[in-house]
Amino acid sequence: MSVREVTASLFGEYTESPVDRREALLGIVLILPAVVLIGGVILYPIAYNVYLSFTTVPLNPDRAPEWVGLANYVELLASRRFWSAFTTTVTFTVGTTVLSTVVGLGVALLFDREFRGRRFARGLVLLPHVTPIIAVAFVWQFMLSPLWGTIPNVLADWGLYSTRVGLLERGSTALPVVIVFAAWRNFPFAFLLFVARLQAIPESMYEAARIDGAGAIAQFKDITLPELKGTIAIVVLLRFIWEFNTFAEVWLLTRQILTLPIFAYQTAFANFEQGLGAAISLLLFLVQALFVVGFVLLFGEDKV
Amino acid sequence: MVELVLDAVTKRYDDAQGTELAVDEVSVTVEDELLVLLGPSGCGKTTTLRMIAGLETVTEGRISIEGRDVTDLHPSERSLAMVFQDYGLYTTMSVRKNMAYGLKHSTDLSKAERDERVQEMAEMFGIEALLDRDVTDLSGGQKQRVALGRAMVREPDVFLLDEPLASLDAKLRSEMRTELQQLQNDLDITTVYVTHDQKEAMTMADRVAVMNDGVLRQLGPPEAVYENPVDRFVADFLGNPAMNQLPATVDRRGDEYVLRADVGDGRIAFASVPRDDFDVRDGDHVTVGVRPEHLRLDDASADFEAAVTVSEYQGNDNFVHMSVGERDLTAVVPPSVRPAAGDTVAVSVPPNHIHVFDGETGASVRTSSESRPAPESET
Repeated sequence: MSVREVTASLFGEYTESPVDRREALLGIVLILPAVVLIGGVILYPIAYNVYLSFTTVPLNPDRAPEWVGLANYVELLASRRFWSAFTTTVTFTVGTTVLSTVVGLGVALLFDREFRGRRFARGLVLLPHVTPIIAVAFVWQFMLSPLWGTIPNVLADWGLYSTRVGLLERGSTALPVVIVFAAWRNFPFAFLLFVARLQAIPESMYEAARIDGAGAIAQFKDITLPELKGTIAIVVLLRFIWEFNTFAEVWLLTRQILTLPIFAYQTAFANFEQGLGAAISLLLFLVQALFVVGFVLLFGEDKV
Repeated sequence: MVELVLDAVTKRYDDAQGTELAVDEVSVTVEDELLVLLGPSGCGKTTTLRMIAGLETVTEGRISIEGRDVTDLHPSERSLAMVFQDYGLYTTMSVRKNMAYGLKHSTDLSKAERDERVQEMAEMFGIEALLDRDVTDLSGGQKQRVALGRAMVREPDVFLLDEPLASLDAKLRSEMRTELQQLQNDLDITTVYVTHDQKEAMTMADRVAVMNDGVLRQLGPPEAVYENPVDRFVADFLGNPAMNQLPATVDRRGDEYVLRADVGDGRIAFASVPRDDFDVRDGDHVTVGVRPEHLRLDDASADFEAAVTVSEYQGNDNFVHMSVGERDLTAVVPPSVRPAAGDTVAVSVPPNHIHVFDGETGASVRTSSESRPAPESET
């Protein structure tokens, strides 16, 4: 089939004149580079990853991957290590998403009024998000160091910290610390979206509410929160997807925590079990896809 | 009977750039009437309204409603309702919730009583069918009605409207104007209405307060303000097309003063008025004004000639724009008189419609004699 026939069959009902047909053809030619590029760098790796997840990849590069069917998945779903990593990932994701959204909203509300130097302060708030992660991760490690760190010092003064083991070295404290760190790094994103939305709420609604006798809490509950509902949904959705995939924030701060992305990385590139690694990342992908579908069904497409 | 009193109310904004006087000692008493605050944008009319509402603090002066000093009270304690230019409706609530919101927060009515009040008011405004709709789904006119209903349902003592018709299209605006007038007549509620539209002011107001630069320039019934403007600003602001104003010199000729208008390349004898009619002296520099509808182009006893630049057909009359020397004049004439562009027309100025303003201060020295108070018009 020639390209013309393909387009004619694809756009048959719309192409009534040669001009329309040429227009459609031009459209296809114009989007082709983008489609090829996306296909090459996104679709192909995903497809290859799906294939790999059903194989065992030998260390010898000359030998082809060996088809093992569902063996990788069976192994994973039976492994305690996988389920522990899964639980940790969910805890980390929920904790970070909630914390960064709440803090972002709180700071955005503080910025929703005129004060001197507001623009400058707004720039400062963005710093955690724009500073290279390697730099802030080392600063946090430094601050958390049990020997000279500020945070253990302060906690010790308050009587909340007495062991010699660092906060990042113990599994029980490492996870909360990493959640706080990731929330600190990412709250400016939520902040930006909230600030923009807050400024779009007409002032007259608040003035009408003042005349109607609604107090600050009622105004927040009845005006601000309903107006922000869509934005909150978007922030939660995006943050959830990103936090679920988070690697750097966790890996750079501590090696005590095993989340699914780290598990996949270690399996594929430390143990060189690339088939198993591919299976882990595919499961990650599935969980996220399920979450997004559920989220959109729950909140409605128009809101998200 | 509700009396709203503004006593030397002043609003000053202080910031790093300096002091800005937005409202300068405005004093006015409004009682069971519709007062229109009229003026160009930035004249302080909205700030005045917002001070009455309690949305802005008062720098100096007092505001009282029914003898109760409300200057420092919270907006909700002043027993007033306000309609905003963009309606200020709660966009995430239904019409019913919008209307009940004020009752819920500032009265102790039960839910059933609140619903009943909302229902009654909705019927009065013909919006009962919309009660369960979302506010965002309504048309501009419907939103306007809901905003009015929401304000009225609280049975306020004072009703404030901030350019409520500005965002409606022309046809809807004139419909709502009529409706608002009827509403005000029926309820007889003390109302302050802010607008920059002089037509709204003229048609709706019991009294008009013309403001400029934060100062109340003139207060009175629309006819009085139109006929007897106290200064050049008020004269210019009211009336469409605006009053013709020209610099002129007073020239005494026997029993008359001849007002010689400076038209750039010389002077013309613009009009003659009886001498003992007003207080100027020979050689004084003044501004002479005459409303476009008082200029006549079809009179044999012409005062001067003018060249027509544009003639606008308006249906029930024509606007004729003319130039005399370097000055522009506008006349509103009957549709039968329709000179073409480039024509030369003879213009006559009836002496009893001449306004004279002080050349320096712009204050009125003489207003059109037909409407002047009795003692002055005896001459």
